[in-house]
Amino acid sequence: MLKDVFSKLDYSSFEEIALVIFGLSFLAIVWGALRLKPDATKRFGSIPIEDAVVDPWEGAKK
Amino acid sequence: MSDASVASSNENEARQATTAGQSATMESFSYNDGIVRMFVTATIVWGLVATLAGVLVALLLVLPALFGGLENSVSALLSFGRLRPVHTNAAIFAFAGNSIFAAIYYSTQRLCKCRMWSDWLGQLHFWGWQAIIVAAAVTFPLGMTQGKEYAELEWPIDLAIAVVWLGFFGGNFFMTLWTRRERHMYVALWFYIATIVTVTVLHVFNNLVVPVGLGKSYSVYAGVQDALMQWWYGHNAVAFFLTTPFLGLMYYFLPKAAERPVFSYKLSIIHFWSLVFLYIWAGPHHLHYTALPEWASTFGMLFSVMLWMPSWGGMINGLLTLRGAWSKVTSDPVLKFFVVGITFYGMATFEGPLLSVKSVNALSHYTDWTIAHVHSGALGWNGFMTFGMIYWLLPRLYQTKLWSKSMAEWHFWLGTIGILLYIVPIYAAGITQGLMWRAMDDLGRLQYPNFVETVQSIVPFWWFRILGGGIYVTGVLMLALNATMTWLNRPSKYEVQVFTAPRLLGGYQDAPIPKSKLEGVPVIEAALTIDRVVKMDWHRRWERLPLQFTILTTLAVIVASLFEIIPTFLIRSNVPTIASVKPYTPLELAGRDIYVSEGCYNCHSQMIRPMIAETQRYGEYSKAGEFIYDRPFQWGSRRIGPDLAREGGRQSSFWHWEHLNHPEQSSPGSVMPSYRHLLTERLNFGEIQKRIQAVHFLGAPYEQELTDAEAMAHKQAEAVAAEIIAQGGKVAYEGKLIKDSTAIALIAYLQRLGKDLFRVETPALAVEKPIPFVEAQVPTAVP
Ligand code: HEC
Repeated sequence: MLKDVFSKLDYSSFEEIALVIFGLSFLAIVWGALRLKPDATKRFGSIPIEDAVVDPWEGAKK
Repeated sequence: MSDASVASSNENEARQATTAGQSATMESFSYNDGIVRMFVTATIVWGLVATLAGVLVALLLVLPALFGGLENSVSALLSFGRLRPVHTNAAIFAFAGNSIFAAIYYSTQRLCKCRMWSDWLGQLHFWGWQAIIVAAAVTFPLGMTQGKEYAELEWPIDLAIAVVWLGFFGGNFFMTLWTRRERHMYVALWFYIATIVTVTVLHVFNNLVVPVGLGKSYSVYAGVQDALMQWWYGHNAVAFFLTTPFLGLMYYFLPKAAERPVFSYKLSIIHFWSLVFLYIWAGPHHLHYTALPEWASTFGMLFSVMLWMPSWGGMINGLLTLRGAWSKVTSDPVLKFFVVGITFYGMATFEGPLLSVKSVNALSHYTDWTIAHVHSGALGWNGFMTFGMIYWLLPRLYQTKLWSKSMAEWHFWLGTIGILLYIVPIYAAGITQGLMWRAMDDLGRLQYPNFVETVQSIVPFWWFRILGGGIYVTGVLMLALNATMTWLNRPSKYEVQVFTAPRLLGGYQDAPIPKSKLEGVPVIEAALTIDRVVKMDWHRRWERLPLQFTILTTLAVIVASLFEIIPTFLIRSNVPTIASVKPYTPLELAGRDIYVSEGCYNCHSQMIRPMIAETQRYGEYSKAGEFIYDRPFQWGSRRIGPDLAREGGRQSSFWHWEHLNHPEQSSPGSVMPSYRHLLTERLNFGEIQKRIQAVHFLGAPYEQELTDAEAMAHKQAEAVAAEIIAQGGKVAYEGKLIKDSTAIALIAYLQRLGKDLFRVETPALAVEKPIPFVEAQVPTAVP
């Protein structure tokens, strides 16, 4: 079964496919990161220095 | 210390609770710092052991006869090939390992606002891990090894690692994430998730073996494939054991110590994902110009070079976190350690891509340049980040002042000087030796044909390394003293802080997705969906969902790996078979196992690269098809001694016998240790049959060997012994017949190395089954 699948694969283009997958995923991540709102990243970033729970929308409550 | 108990309310949580008709349940909890204290102590203890073992193996290189005066059976335990894995494994898995556990147990509880899920899983994890380290420290000197760098531990210990790592540690960690009270998973937690998942995958797949006893097994992969798997593992061990968890550590402890948030959270997200995507492909850069297919190594190079960008992004993110706080750095040893540690991260991740460029690699590979590179990473990045973290933790864990801040300052300066005194001479040694290996005279002949000459030229640098290493160890000793004294000043009873926070509610809904601008515009539904996806609200969702996040990371790692591994395993043309290459005879197989067990690969490569300087020195370059029966592959990574891929027939068997006894007499100036113990040790002929069966099971075509291995081994041993005697050797050594010694098997193996490629089958033999190699040499008088 698996043998049939593998024997039909065309490995010669694996590198190119891999590069494309990598490029697309990378762009998606960068895009996603850049779209985060400044107030959200500010709250996320403050989690380690706050002792209280940091609400992603409301910020830390003392 | 952090604020006293904090009652926090979480408005969104409360709002939802009210709509759901229930009130947000407030819960009280405290953190488990006892387990962190244990891991910190273990880190310091193993840090001392690892660095001392390093100084010891460094000493053995300049004084190979250091333990020569001891009993054979004792000096065997302490030879370079067996001790080097003790040093590397102690540094990676014991020192760095316990350090990341301390970091993870401390920070995860705080980032999740909840106690570790299970105290006793933590205990099992701690004691299980220490037991594994002790098992390593016992089995390596005894010669039990899988013969693959940083994956030397034999299968029973590997199984224990899988259980402790994934079951105890992973289980405890993921359950903690599951029960957390902080909805958003801070970026450090992502790095921890990637660490746990990837190390599991790497560990399992690189260690697949067929056991032939408790202390011996054969890799299911052979030759080129084994090499690819090993360096896929090896490089990613650097990535996911020594980099990602330490970055998690950095993203937590640096903001803590600097008392300001990380410079850019967005950059940290990009840093994380690009590391996960890129690292996994980079492994083949360890195998440039070897018998690995060209495309795989080019691929490894490309991705390694790309890695430079995110790595420096991370370094810059770390250093800029200190913006406006530089004045603190001058007065705080913790921040000093962090700044220099992060700088070394930057240096090492600049140098790594550089070394992965083929033309640079042609010079650097097999030399001390690599050793300098890993020590700038290990001592500078892993060491200093660990020390910074420990100095920050000590007063908090022991609830008292650090015993001596000035001693911590001293540690910092000694550590820094120690690293420089280590790496600068070793860079010089690496480049010197690399250039000497390739130097040619006007007639196109090797300028330094005698290998020992190239070794001798770098011995002075090796002495400097011992000085640098010694200074670094002094710093670690100061840390141990400082920690002990701080511990002695602890209060009689630790104060346990109690926190309260609301439980996370199950049916939590995110704040509404911002309306699409396209709403109301006459477009098809798909356009709306795309617009919503592009708005990336899903990104915020999955980064706080542990299960989805873990699956995604695993997927990224596995898909990337498969793209590299499948073609190497399946394309036939990647490993063209060579008709004349035959499996090892029973005696040679036993000899090979001794080669592996003694750790000869720590000093000798078996891989001649296609370069004039190498083919002139060692002979025809190595072909992939020559290694199809090599389990494990023994290509090596450092040439402290010459390459042995074509050693067969280079020297007489008697020469080998004498050389194993006292290398410095056969080759004046040699730094190879004496292997006297192999001359008296008796070969266990009875074991051989089982081993032949195991490699046959894995695909080696044997016939008569399947039933007759022991007798065949005896016969060949007698032939080799007869040859040695004919060449001037004695029948017995120290009252024991030489034919039954382990050295004879090892010599049989050495005499076979690299010969098959040139073997011509006589037509008469070609019809019959091939006759074992030495039967061609008619045995003469048998002692
Ligand atoms: C500490 C590093 C080190 C270790 C470990 C080591 N060697 Fe060596 N070996 C050397 C050096 C250096 C030389 C070159 C000088 C010489 O001939 O002794 C050498 C030379 C050799 C040679 C001679 C090659 C030639 O034809 O010139 C052989 C064969 C050899 N080693 C086999 C082994 C075997 C087998 C083991 C394991 C049992 C081993 N070595 C372990 C460092 C090492």
